[in-house]
Amino acid sequence: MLKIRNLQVQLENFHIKINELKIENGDYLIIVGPTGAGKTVFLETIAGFHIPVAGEIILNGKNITNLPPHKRGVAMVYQDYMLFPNMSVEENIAYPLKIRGKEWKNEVKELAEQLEIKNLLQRYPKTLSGGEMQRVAIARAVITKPSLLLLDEPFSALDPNMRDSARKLIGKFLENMKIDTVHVTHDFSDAWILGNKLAVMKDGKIVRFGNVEDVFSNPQDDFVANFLGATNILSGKVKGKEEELTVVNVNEKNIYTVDSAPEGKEVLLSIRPENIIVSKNRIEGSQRNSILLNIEEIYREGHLIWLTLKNDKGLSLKVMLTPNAIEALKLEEGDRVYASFKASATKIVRVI
Amino acid sequence: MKKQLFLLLIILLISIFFGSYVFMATSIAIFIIIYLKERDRKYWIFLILAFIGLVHPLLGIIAVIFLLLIMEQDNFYRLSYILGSLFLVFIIFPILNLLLYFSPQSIYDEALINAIIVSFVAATSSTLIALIFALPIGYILARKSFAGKSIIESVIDLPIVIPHTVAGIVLLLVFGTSGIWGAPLEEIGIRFYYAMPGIIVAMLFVSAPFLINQVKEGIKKIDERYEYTAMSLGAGRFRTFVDIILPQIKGNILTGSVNSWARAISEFGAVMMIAFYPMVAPTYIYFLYTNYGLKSALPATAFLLLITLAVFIILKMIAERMKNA
Repeated sequence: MLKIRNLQVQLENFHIKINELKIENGDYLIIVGPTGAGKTVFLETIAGFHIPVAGEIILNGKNITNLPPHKRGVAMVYQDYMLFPNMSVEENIAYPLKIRGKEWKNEVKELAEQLEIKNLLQRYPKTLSGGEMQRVAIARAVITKPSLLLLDEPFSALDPNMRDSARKLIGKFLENMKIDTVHVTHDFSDAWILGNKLAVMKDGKIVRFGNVEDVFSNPQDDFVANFLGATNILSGKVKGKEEELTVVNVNEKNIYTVDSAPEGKEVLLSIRPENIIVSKNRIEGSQRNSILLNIEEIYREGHLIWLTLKNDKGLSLKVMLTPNAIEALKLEEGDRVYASFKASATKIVRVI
Repeated sequence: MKKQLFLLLIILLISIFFGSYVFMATSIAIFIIIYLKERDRKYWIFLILAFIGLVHPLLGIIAVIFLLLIMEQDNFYRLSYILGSLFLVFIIFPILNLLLYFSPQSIYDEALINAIIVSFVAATSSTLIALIFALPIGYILARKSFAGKSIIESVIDLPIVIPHTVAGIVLLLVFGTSGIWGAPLEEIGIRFYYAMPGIIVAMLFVSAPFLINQVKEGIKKIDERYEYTAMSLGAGRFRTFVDIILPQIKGNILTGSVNSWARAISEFGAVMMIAFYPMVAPTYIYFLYTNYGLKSALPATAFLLLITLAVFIILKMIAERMKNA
């Protein structure tokens, strides 16, 4: 459990101010934000590399604000892993235990097995691939079971097709380890696949914090909405397969998606507002999904028009249109319209 | 092959001064080695060149320059090879020339051997002391930025700029028998004037900057996040320094130590000012030269040169190897 209150860090021409942040045991917090928002500095402050000018950091009930880094029980993994070049993989992983004068042989072996790096133990870091280095770095960070694990863009140095498998392996591994984690990233998939909490940072502040789904579906803030690219999040239950497509029951409506998930599972679907077509009559086309909804609200934002569509079962969608389209369709609040979207534009972002 | 020609040119240029067969033989030997290593027929040309040089060194030189000029198309490189070889001859020739006066008999010159021992002991002590200070100073200068840092960096380089006799007098004033530090230290039995500690202090003063700067450059190249990571894994500052920093800068430490040691060994001005006795090797040579003339000084000088060169080359090789490891 990590609690942060009124934290202020002042570096050369850089300022961080975090009024409140709290994560519970078992939480996996994802922090996103534009470059220069202070994400890495924030992690480094939690780790103790920068001394805050004000505020406190409380980890598992203990005030660690003024503790030196090595006494905090907070392990940090950087984007480029920082494996010690003068040590072999085995020595790297064993290092935290060696410092503490503890037995390490079995622990290293066990972790190496779980992370599939057992055959690399005698190698030196400069001979490893990115993915291998990453797993070594994670093993080294968790071997002492720290109270908190900090990950600074751990997947960004991997090439995209490796990222998915790495994410799965690390995600499963960390879930078994049960270590509270704070993870900084640029990649929203990290949030969906690994995280349960999401914080958005901007200019050294946290502008939005909450459950991943809540933040994505209800950004509450123009900057957050723009940054995350506001999307529709629907939750439903997988009913089964129909012609290669997965059928998900959302508020008693069937929604088709190209993504797959096991039958009976609760899933979250994401449909981007710009991918939804609105029409007064049912349209014939490649859109597999077509739902009749009421226009609850029409509002303008910049050069775009947003519609909020709802039905009486509680299904709600946000749609984005151009002003011309609104005029051509003669849409008004209270009208009944069809919202159509492709099965390929409907993503399963999380299986619960 | 141009680079080997360049090497041959240097050897030929040197041999012209000696007019001896020795260097022709070495040139042949060198190119037999190159041929054996690279197994390329074209290296036979060097043997031919060597024999042309054997007829008359000037002929050899002309042949090599001619070959360099036709093989190298780029005027910039042509000029660089020829000027470069001239400068190297300027350094190598006097040294080799002196070595001709080498005589194994010097080993029976007790005063010379003593002076060399004093030199080695003092230079080694001064290097070890320099190391103790260079590590923390180098760390601070590499990692921290603060007002006045560039002033401190200039202060560290000051001993390189100060004429060495001036450095000697500067130290003598403070460490002398009636000096501000010298007097109280003499009370507790540490004497600098005309004593070993004086030699060490003088050597330390002029040689420490080389080590400090090497350590600083080494630490600068290590990403600070290695230290952060080690600390977050549970290592304290000292432990991080020993486990993470030291192994990564051992090449710099060795190079810096060798440079600093070499500088200390070669120091004469400052050492002589504060302690003419016990004599270090350079002082002894100076003593021979001023009292008995150039001729008597030559064997001892050649002996010292050979030993210093040998030690320097060996240490340098070790340092390079550690740097690459």
